[in-house]
Amino acid sequence: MTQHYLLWASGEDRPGIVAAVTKALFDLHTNLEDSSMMRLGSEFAIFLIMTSPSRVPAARLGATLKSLRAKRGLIAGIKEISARQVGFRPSRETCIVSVHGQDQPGIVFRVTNALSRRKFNITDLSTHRTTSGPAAGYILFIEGELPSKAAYTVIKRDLSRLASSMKTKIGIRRVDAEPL
Amino acid sequence: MPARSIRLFPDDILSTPCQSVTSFDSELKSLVADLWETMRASPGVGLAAPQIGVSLRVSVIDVGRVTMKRKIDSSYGGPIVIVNPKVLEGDGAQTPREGCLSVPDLLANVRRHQRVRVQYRNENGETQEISAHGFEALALQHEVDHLDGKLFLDRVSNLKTDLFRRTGSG
Repeated sequence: MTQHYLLWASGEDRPGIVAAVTKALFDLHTNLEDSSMMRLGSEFAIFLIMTSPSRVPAARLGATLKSLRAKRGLIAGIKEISARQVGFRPSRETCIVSVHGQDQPGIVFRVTNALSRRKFNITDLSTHRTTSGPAAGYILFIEGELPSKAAYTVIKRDLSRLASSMKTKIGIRRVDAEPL
Repeated sequence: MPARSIRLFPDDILSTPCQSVTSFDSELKSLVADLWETMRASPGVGLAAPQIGVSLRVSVIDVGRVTMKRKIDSSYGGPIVIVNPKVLEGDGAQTPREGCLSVPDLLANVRRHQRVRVQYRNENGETQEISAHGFEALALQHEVDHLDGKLFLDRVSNLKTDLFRRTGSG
């Protein structure tokens, strides 16, 4: 039976990290499925799902992690996950929330807290801090699922109030398109 | 006249819709001269008044700075001053990678019209109209956005897929 694993790894960014990790997966005879890999500051971080036609012995997984640490200085971990957690497709209407303005403490917390109170389920989030101007700017994008169609108006109103109190720009829009 | 400094994100003036121009006087001509001077001292092809700290619906555009050097699909109506511009119609789509002098460390994939027809006043107050396509149409839409208090950040959906760090930044 196909086994699913979540692997995460991070280490100081330099050429060859992705090749080293994917070679380790290849050597384990696992198949790379969804992944997200990015540089954050000076670090490179990897999150991926891999599958194997059968359970990989814990000792082999452990040896792989040890080797990635010893040869590449990567701190890594592997967790077995259930098949139902794989192959994510949004089950409800998807929305994008965008925030940009002057950096201030608590932006991500205040926005995500407002969304959480309305049962908005975040599926993707990324932030960027700009430092090119005299003041630091902050950009936040959130993708997530609405709990119901009616929730859109309520969340939009909540975010509009929050934008006024934070003196920042917060927008929400539906992600939809007509199938062709 | 020395070039003015360019306001950078997250300066509030960049997210504030600008006031329409009502007086086509020497003050406006002086603002336009400053816009040209500042734009020509920068690597940009367009500059809006809020980018130099003036919340008025005035922009200057000269895409010839780029289209003459590179083979870019674009109309070229020469250097233009647009005052109180209004996009009358737009059609077609393009999603080029766009930069902005006020957000110097990022580039973005922004969906824009391929062709636009824009009505505006020139610096003497005369009503004009321009039909543009390609890069010039993009520049017009980018400048009108500035005058509406919008940056390209308002038109992208995903930091990972739509925004790119500019070479040499961060």
